[in-house]
Amino acid sequence: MATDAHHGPEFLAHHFDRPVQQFDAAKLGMWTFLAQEILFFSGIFVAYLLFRSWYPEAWSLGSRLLDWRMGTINTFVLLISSFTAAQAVATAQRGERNKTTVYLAITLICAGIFMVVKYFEYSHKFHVGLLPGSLFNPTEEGWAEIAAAAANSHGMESAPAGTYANHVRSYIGLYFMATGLHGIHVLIGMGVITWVMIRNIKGEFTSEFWTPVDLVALYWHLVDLIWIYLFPFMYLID
Amino acid sequence: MSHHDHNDDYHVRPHISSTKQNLAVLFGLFILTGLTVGAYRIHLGDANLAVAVIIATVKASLVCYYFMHLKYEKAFNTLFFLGSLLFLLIFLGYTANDTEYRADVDPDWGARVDRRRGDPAAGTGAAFLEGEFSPIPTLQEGESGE
Repeated sequence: MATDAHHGPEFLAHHFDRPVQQFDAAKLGMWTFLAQEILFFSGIFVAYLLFRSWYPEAWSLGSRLLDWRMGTINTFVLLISSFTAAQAVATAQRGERNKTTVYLAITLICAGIFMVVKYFEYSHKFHVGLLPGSLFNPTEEGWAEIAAAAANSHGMESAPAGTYANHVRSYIGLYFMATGLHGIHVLIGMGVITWVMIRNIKGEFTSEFWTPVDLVALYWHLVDLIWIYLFPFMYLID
Repeated sequence: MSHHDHNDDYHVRPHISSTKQNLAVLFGLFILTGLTVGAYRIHLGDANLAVAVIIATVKASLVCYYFMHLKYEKAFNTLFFLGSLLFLLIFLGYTANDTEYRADVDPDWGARVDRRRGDPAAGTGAAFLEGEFSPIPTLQEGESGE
């Protein structure tokens, strides 16, 4: 049980009595952080729902400026990465170090694919000037896209272009804030997963101690949770 | 205590999810993603948002319950996490309670306010503010002053 005359196993920090106490403290800390993340994103979701109820026609139009196929691909990619993150935890708990490394690597690859798809979506928006706030300055191609989306939308089929520009700008602004904030979370997640994967390769984790794998997976699942809502909210408006 | 896997107070004894179970959850998430895209493609109109929220919440519950191990988590941690959702709903509910009813007639002043800005609504506000109308409700037929 105790590998040290003074204290328990090597992974047990000196201010904890027992591994289970250290583990419970870490888990409570992580859940507190995740609760904070929900509140952090809540401003985006409340703004989204209020603006959607105020400008349903602009939201219907704005959603058609996005490609639902891209969003669907990214949803599947993130779901797979959540599965591999869960598998990384299970294998770490069984002490299957190499499998944990593989699952963490697949999670990283999925995160990379997600960001590449996002890059293509963003770069097109940059190209046609569909940008948030004061940067909103559609090119001719951008206005043509807005007109095509309007013709296909509910409530703005016959509206002249100038009348809906401001509300489309609100939608684009929220799209960039929501998916941008989420994208930053994906990038941070990739960094932390890489760090945990390196520690795993170095052999820091055993079937007795795998808390960092567990915590990074929890964070990654939260990133997935946010996207589960962002996807239909942004891409799938009737 | 829900944390039944801790059968001593020294070692961490986790519940370890089987690959089979994780795969089943992933499969369920795929089906639900197909469902939410399908619901969008058949154009549900006003039900669009409600259906999207319901399907997303089922998906989120699957992720929380199985992938995030809420099923086996200490009740206190679960409470903590779900508590944040309660506060999100309070945030949304109270804000919507203001902004969603701005276009209604104010029973004390009989004036309408612009629901988007909170200013007196066009056509009624300016004259009202200049004192040409007394602050007595002037309801149109079929409107409620409540």
